[in-house]
Amino acid sequence: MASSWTFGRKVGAGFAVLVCFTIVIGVVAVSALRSVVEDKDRVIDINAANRLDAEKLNAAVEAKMGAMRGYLLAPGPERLDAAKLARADFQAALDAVETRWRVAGIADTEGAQILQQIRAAEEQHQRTVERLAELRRDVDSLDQLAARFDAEVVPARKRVGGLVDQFIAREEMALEAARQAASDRAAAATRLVVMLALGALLLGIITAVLLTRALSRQIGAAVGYVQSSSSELQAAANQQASSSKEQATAMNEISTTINELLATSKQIAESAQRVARIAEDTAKAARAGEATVERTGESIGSIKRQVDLIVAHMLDLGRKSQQIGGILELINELSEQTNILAINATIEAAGAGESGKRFGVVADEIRKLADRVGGSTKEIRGLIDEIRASVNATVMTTEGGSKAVDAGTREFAEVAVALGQISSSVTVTTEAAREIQLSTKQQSTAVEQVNIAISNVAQATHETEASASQTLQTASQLNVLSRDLMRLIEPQASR
Amino acid sequence: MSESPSLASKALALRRAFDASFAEPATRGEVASVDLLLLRAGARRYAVRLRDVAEIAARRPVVPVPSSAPHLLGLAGLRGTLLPVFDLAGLLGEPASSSTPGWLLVCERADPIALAVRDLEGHVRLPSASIRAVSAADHDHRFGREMAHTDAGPCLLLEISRLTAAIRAPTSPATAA
Repeated sequence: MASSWTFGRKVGAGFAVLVCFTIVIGVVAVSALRSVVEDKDRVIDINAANRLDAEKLNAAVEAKMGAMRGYLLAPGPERLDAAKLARADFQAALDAVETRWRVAGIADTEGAQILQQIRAAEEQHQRTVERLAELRRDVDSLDQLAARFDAEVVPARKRVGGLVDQFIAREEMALEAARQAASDRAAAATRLVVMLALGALLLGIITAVLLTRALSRQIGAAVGYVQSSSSELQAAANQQASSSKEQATAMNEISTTINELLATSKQIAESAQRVARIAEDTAKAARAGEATVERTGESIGSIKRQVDLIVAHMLDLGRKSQQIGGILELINELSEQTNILAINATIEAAGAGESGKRFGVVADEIRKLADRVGGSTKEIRGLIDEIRASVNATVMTTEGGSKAVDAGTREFAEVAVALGQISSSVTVTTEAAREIQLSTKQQSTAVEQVNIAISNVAQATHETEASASQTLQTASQLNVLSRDLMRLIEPQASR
Repeated sequence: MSESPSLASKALALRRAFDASFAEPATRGEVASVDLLLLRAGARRYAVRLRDVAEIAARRPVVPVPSSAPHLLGLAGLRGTLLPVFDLAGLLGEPASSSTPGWLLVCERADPIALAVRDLEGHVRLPSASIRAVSAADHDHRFGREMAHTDAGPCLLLEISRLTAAIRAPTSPATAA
C-alpha cells in the first residue's frame, strides 16, 4: 500500500512519524519536568515549611520562657500576655505542620507521635510556668523562685526543646530525602528524554533512508518516463512543426486559390448580371419581334394578294401583247407584201420604159415606205417580244415571288412560333441568369467567409507552428532537465 | 409605254417622208445607179439585178412533180400559168434548207422559171461604182462575176441569165458543180 503513496504523502508520513516522536519526547519531558517541579514544590512547601515551623516552635518556647522570666522578675499582666502570645504562636506552628500533613495527605505516624509528645511536653511546661506565676504572687523571694524555676521549668523547657530538636532533625532528614528523590526523578526523566531523543534520531535516519530510497526509485522511474516522453514529445513537436509549415504553405495556396475563386465568382456574378440584362432586353426584343412578325405576316398576306393581282395583270398584259404581236404579224405581212408589190411595180415600171418612170418613182416610194414600215414593225416586234419576255419573266418572277411569299408566310409562321419559343426560352434564361446571379452572389459571400475562415486557420496554423516550435524548445529543455534530474538522483546514470 | 412617243414620232416621220417624196422634183440620171434585190441562200448573201427579175411572187403552194431535173422543187401556179420552181440555194451549191422557201423569183417573162428563195432581204439602189468585178482568186463565180458592196457588206451579184442557162442546159448543174 505504501508503494502507491505519493511523494508528498510519503514525506508527510515520515515527518508525521518524526513529529509524533517529538511530541512523545516533549510530553515525556514535560511530565518529567512537572514531576520534578512537583517534587521540588513538595520539598519546599512541606518539608522546608515544616522545618521552618519547627524553628518557630523553638523560638516560641524561648519567647515564652523570656516572658515568664520577665514576669518572675517584675510581675505584670503584659508579661503574661506576651507569654500567652508566644504560646499561641507555638500552638499555631504545631497546627500548621499538622494541617500541612493533612492537606498533603501524608500519614507520618512517627512524626505525629513526636508532635504529640511536643504538645504534651509543652502542656507540662505551661503548667510548671503557671505554678511559678501563682507562686510569685505569694512568695517574694526571688531566689526561691529561681531555684524552683531551675528545678521545674528548665527541665520542662529542655524536654520540649529536645523533642523539638528531634522533630527538626527528623524534618531535616525528610527534607534531604525528598530533595534527593526529586533529584533522582529529574535525572531519570533526563535519561528518558535523552533516550527518546536518540530513538527519534534513529527513527528519523531510518525514515530519511527509506524515503530517499522510495523517492529515488519512484522519481527515477518518473524521470525516465519524463525523459522518454520528452524525447517522443520532441519528435512529435518536430513533426508537428514541419506539418504546420506544410499546412501553412497549403493554407497560403488555398487562400490564393480562394482569392482567385472569389475574383472569378465576382466576374461570373457580373457576367450573370449582364446576361440577365441582355436576356431581359432580348425578351423585350423577342416580344417586339413577335408583334413585328405578326404585322409582317399581315403585310406578307397583303403582299401575296398584291402579287396575285400583279400576276393576273401580267398574264393579261401577256395576252394583250400576244394580240399586239398577232396584229404586228399582220402589219409585217402587209408591209412585206406591199414591199413585194412595190418591187414588182418597179420591175413593171422599168419594163414600161419612159412612160413607166413616174410610176416607178411612186413604186419606189411605196417600197421605201413598206421597207420602213417593215423595219418599224421589226422594231415593234422586238419591243413586243421584249415586253412579252419581260412579262413572262415578270410572271415567272412574280409566281416565284408568290411561291416565295407563300414559303415566307409559312416560314414566318415558323418564325413566329420560334420567336414565341425564343421568348419563353429567354424568360427561362432570364430567370436562370437571375438565379445564377443570386447563387453566384451567395457563392461569393460563402467564398469570402471561407476565405476569412482560411485566414483564421492560416493564423491558427502559424500559431500552431509557433507553439510547435515552443513545444520543441520546451521538450528539449524538459529532456535536459530530466537528465539533470536523473543525474541528481543517480549520478552514475548520467554517463 | 415609254416607246409610244418614239413610235408615234417614227410613224409621223414615215408619213412626212412619204409625202415629201412626192413634193420633190423628179431627178433623172444625175447619179448612175443600179437596183438590186438582196437575198439569202444558205449561209450567204447574194444580190440580183432587179431588171433580171420579171416578178416576185409571195409564198404559195409548190406541188412536187417527179422529175430528173436537179433542184426542181415542183410546180407552182401564178396567175393561171404553171411555173417550174427550182431551189436557188441548191443551184448555188449551198446546203438545202429544211424550211420551205418563202419567195419565188420569176425570171424570163417569155419562158418563166421560178427560183425559190428562203429569205428576201429586200430592194436596194446602189451607185454603179459599188459594183466591182470579182478577182479570179475569189470564191466560186460560176453564176456571178461582180460583187455588190452594200452597207451590210459585199455579196456576189448573181447573173440570172447564167442560172437559167444552167437550168436549161442538158447537163445537170449539180453534176457540173
